[in-house]
Amino acid sequence: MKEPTPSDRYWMRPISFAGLLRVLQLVASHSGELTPLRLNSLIGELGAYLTKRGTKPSVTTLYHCRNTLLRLGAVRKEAGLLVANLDSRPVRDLLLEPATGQGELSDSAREAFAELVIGNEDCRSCFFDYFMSGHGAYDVEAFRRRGTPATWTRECTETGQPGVLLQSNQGRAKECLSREAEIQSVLYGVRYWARDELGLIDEFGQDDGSATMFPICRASAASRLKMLCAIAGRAIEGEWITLSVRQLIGDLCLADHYPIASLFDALDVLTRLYADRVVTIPTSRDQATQSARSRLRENLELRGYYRDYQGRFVSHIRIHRSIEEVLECRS
Amino acid sequence: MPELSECGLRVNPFEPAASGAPVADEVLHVPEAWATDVRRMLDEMTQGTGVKALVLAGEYGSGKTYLLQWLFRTELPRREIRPFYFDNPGVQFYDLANALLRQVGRKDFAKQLWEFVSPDVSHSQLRLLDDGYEGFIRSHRTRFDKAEAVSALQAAIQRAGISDDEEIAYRLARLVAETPDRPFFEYRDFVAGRPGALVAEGEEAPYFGAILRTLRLAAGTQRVAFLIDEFEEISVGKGLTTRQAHDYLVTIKRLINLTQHENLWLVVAMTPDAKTRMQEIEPALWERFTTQGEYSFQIPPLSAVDAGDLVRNRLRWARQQGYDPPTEMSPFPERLEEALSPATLSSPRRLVKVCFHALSRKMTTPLPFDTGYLSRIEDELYPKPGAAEEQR
Repeated sequence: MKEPTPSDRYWMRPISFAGLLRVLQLVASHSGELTPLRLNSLIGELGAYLTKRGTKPSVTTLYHCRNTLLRLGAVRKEAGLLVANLDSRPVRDLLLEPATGQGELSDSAREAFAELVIGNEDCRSCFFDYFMSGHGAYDVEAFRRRGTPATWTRECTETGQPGVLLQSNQGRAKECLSREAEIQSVLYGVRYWARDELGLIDEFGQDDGSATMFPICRASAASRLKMLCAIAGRAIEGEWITLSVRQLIGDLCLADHYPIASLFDALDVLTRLYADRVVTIPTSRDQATQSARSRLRENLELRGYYRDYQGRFVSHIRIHRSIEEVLECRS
Repeated sequence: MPELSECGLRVNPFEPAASGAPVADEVLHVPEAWATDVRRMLDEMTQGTGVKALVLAGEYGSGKTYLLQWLFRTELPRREIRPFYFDNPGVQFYDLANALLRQVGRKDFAKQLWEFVSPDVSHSQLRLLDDGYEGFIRSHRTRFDKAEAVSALQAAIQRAGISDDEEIAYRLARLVAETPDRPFFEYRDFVAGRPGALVAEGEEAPYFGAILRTLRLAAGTQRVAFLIDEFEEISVGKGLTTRQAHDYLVTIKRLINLTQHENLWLVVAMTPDAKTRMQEIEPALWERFTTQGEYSFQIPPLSAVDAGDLVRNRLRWARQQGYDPPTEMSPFPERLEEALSPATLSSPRRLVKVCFHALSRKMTTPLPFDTGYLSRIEDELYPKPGAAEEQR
């Protein structure tokens, strides 16, 4: 397969970073001995990279795996042979990670990959810069703490072709992706990396068909507690207050860079421990996904709904005013 | 189980499923605050000339159906508005039309229409009208005569002002003429565009208008109300193509127009999520539906006082004649809030279910019910998922 030209920014594709780690470790353990073809064979023999369905990856997938490592600077080519880049600290950290099965990445591996991804100029210019409008250089920590939301929307271009508009919510930065390679690379490549693989952003769908993405910090017990207090501390004028889950995502997660999962963890605590004074208000799945026209879009829209212990999609919760006293007693 | 008679009751006045309004009108009671707010909105709509649509928003079990039934059985008839109730009528226009005319009944509708337009049937047909509707139909049994009758009726329907549209008038005329052969409606009658359909394609809203005009003029009903429960099931475009969903929303918008021209009232019940989504996805529709948000009633949680009134009202209705209860709340404690959680007290459905089971459980318990007994029933019906964790 022809190697991409340096001018091609849009090389990112959906891949498993857990698999990528195993491939990197394979390269490192055979440093300077492997051609791309030999690496492919070795991956197949050892089952180092499997698809989500548990099958052997295609040649194209293996190419994208290899290309990602090369583009991120984790691997170099010397005289046609693949060599792990030990000059890079994140790479050294990754090589210290224990060999994993098919499970998830550890937090430290995820952070190391995040450094490589955010440190990559193509990934920044195609995607992460939209969250950092007005900022100069930034690292992972700065991205998590100081990044601001960005939005993408499916739109038609001026020529009537389907495209994707990506824009910063704060600055004026925006770009319309019109070529298939651009959409694949940004929407299904680096966005998936940032959201699903590396935990750098979270996302939820809006009713107008767009989606809002925002940088997140790591979830912790402290963030869950803070969420609980923020929810319970809402001014309750009457006996009850009804809160929209979507509103809570905006007010608590978006504003303070907490993952949506943290909010839902806090809601789990409230609804389980204080079921006598917290009422979930469910909606039907059809109602929740009414503007979706594909399974992917349905999943995106459902991210804005809390799933209670009965599996129902909850759009609102109603909280009794006594909850604040109860939480204060417990804390 | 304490016998109901020991509690001075003829029957258990609470429903086991607590889904919907009770059968007896006497216990169809809504909290005074709700009634006041809804009545105020209805009064304003009566005096106004704009869109007559009211949205009731509330969570499942909050009393939406109850409130609709109160409007259906009590409040709207009191205002001389003829109500039609649609319970989850489906996602297509023809479900609504099918449900409406099935409630009216084909024979009754056909006869009303015929009686109203017969003075406008041309004189050449006049001799055939002497025996009334049945006589008219009897004398037009052959296919040729039936076609003649349809033609005469079509012209009469237009002259009488029911519809000025040729095709709608034709289809209504067919409805009248074909009733003796098929004295009931079938679902397919309303699927626009199908052969033999009574609804012209793309003419759903004007067709509805003609039906409403018939009900108004022929049956002497000045105002008609559609009460639609679970409205989110209509407004959701699921299962429809994009075009169908769009067409359906257009029909809803045109239906709203009818509220002004045909004195039609719309009362729709929906969940909070449906309300939020409609506001965001279809803000213009929402604005028109609720007259810039003025006529939208958010059903509040029951207060402790309202909860007590609900229980007291039911018990009063179910008392044995001549029985003098120790308290109006007997066998329940005076202060329900000491026995039941805020979550149960605030939800009509949960409260009614707990009360039903309290009266019907096969367990020995002294009267009046103590807080422990009611708490146990509440815990069984609505177990707290975190109970074990709380113990730790």
